[in-house]
Amino acid sequence: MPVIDTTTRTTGEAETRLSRERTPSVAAALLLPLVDRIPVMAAPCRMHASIDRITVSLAEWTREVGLETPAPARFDRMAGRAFAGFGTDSTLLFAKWLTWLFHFDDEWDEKPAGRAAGIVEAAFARLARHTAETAVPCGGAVQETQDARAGGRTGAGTARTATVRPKPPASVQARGSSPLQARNRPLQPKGLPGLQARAAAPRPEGVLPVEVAFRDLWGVTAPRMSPRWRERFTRGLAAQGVACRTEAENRCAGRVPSVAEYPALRRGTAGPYLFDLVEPCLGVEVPAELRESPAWRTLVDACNDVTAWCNDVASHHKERANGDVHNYVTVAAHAFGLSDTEAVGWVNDRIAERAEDLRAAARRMPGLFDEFGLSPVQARNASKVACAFLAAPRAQLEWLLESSRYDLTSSACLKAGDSNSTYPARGKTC
Amino acid sequence: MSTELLKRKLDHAFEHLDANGNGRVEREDLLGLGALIMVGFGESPTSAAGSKLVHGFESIWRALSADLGGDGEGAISPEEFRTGMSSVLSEDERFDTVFRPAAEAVAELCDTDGDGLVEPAEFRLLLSAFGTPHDDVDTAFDRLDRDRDRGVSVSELVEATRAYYTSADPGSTGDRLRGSL
Repeated sequence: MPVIDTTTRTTGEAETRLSRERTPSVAAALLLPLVDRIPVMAAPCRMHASIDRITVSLAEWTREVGLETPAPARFDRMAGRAFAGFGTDSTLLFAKWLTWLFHFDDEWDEKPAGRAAGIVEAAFARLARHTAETAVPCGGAVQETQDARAGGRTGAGTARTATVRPKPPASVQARGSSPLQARNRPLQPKGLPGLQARAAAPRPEGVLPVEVAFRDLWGVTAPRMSPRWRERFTRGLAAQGVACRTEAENRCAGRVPSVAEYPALRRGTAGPYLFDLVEPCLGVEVPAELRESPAWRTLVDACNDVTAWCNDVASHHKERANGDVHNYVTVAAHAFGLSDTEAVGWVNDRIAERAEDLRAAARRMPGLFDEFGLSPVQARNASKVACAFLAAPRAQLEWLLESSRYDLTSSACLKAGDSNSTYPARGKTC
Repeated sequence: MSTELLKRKLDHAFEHLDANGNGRVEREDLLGLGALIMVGFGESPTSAAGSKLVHGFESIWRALSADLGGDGEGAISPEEFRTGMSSVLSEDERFDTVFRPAAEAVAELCDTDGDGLVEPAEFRLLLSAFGTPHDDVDTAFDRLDRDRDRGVSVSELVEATRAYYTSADPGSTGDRLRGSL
């Protein structure tokens, strides 16, 4: 397992060090040549100064909501790298969302539910219903915007996550529409003083842990953002639902996506809202006109693509072993008749190209800040978000090398949850 | 500071750092400025140049907050900023260990083709991040680019920055770096 320090090194030195310390069996090592090719992957990430507290708090939260996350998954450390310079609560909130997302994702990638379009659709519909029905305290988003504009410390990620949380409406708590009995685990509402002042809400009978976790996170996140941001998140969730349904249909039909259609499909299954979550975690909101500009969309999409395709390279052995063709390496090998090694090289080339799109989009930002008349505070806040996107590929690389999540030899015990599907194959599967 | 001009320069720098105008400069302000600079050049804390900048800015913050007896998470008033910056800028040893690495990191980040020169477009982008009005940027560049080779060396930029904050001479080389006062 690599030990990542915080000293600056030259590109070559960084790769040499990573290579020396990596575990040879980790497929993520196939990404190491990119360290020399992609400037924003050249230097080591710093690790958050409060990573130990974040680790403890994340573990407590996963227990409270009922998610089972083996320690080697290390979502706390992925967040600790991506948010190294920011507040502890910001980083913890992002770590929780990552934990939730990977659990949710696992349902479709490896379990029977991933072959049942109806189950996929119903699961996403329940989450969408929750985002639509959850009460948002009047003025919450306005207050956040004012804080951000005023540049108060809330914008730097103070303990807002510990204090702002609307009570879920009774209708949501009572619905319990899950097709599966939730796992019964006692809630342990403990937390470090000042870091996690509240516990997750008691789990309604019959609601799945992934849905309990989602409700908890949405309840913390939504009130601090504008209606426009919430709509954006909901659209991203819907896009993921459509992409997951398409994958389910592909699995049933034994169909391999084409090289042309795969990037958009992969962008959807990655969870487009993950990139929208950087803003609430940092306590800022990118002005709508900037967010909707082509350059910002490229920034977000390129970050999504680079990180998703890196993930594909690291996980392709494991996904192939599971019979899943939704992986850029597999798609390229199938389309061009490439060997595994050749296909990895082809995908790495695409990653390097897309990373250059990411940098080019970032370089356009100062001109757009001027064009849209952003205040100095807004420009700096938007830059912090953009910086998080630029740093994400390196943060993910270090996490992939460390996590062992995609290690074939130990995969069975590293995936979130256990081998049983949370969503049962009660619906029609192929 | 011994003169009104120097005081005005440092107050001007403080006001720029304190983007939200709450009368205090915090670590976040410095990191926000760093993010603004990095993004404009397509760099990040995980690029070679961006990493040096982040470490340089952190070093300046530690020096300023340590001088003021803070724990690194406090806030600095305009008076404290003047005192701390004067110490860092005017004492050779402190300048070399604290300010120079950050200034060099910024200048090197601007030297995108690695030829040792910061060119006009790069210079404009940098000074915009520091809040220098666009109209003043060309004047500042011409004053620094004395040999008219359309480039300012990294070392010239570092020394001009120091001169700006330590010289009471209104005609000094780097006098327009932050625009008209």
